[in-house]
Amino acid sequence: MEQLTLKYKNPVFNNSLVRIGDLINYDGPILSLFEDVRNGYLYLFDWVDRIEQYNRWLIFQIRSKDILEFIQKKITYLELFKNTVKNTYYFTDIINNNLNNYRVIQLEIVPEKYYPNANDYFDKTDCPSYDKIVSFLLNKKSENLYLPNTSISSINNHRTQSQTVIRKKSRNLNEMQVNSNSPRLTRHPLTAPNKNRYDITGITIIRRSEFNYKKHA
Amino acid sequence: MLNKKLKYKQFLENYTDCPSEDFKEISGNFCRWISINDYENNFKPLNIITNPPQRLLNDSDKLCMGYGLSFFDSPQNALNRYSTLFEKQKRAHLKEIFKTDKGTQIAVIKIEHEDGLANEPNATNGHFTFHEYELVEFKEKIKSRINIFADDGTINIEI
Repeated sequence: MEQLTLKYKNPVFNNSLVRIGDLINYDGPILSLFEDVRNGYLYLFDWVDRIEQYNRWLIFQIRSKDILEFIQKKITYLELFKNTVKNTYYFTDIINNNLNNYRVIQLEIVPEKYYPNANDYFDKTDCPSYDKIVSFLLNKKSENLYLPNTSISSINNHRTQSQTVIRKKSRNLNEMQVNSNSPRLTRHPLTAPNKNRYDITGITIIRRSEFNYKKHA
Repeated sequence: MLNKKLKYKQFLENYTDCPSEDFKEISGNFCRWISINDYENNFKPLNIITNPPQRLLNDSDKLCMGYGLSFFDSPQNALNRYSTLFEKQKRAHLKEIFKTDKGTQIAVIKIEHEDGLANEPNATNGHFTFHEYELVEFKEKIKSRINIFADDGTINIEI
């Protein structure tokens, strides 16, 4: 097994990683998507090696945009791998009789042999959770697409008037809340026929595409 | 009357409908990847193999079909699927691990009705899962072996 150079700056996940699904799976997971429920950050567990009783996984944070582009075959596995947030990689060696208690350590350098092949693209036939992952990513993407119909300064003005929008973790647009002093979330009268537009006192939220906003169990 | 109790029944009982009702007894010659030597894992289901360790991230990765053996309905389908998965290995050294785990030969095995239960072969790649009855020893049922790799190290194209 490859010798690793470590940073000894260990992230603490505190069991906060929830598995969304596998982007690649045959005879078990190869590339698996997780979300840190504390902050919504996404991580990939990427199987890179095995020795005796351990399987070695690289773990890296990734943007939903990059995963979507990988799924759409706009970028390769290698490009996805390199697009990690802050160029930070962790690893863990997982032993099967202790699946829920593995230690994650930051790498100083990723060994060359752990980089994926250059020309590999996503293959839907290897992705048993395709629908679930795509739905999850699109919902996640929509969270980041709230576009103001006014300038930044006017948004700031609204904020100073205690009209700060508080977003619930549920990712459900219909559950978006404003604080107790703010007007209720209402549909803008001029855009009422368009169910992709909502208005909160001057800030229009445009839902970019048709997603399933069904509440997660 | 042979014993028709399924092997690994104690594990299968942890799942609902495992194996499912569409699994039937079959007979004929079918194919499975094996190692050249009589490797102890040649006829062990994935979920039973402890060395090398199965690739798991949590217990949900242990599926019902992991207690069955992978077979193919023809040598050519067995070769094609091997070649496909071999090429899918995302890093060069993982190809060597794949060869160690899956073997480098195709065994043609005579399966009889009293050997166990199988689902329908996949229409695309001919793969199916086979749950053995308790006293079956496939090692003794190998009729022939076919090398997957040619002398130059490349995968054979045809059988």
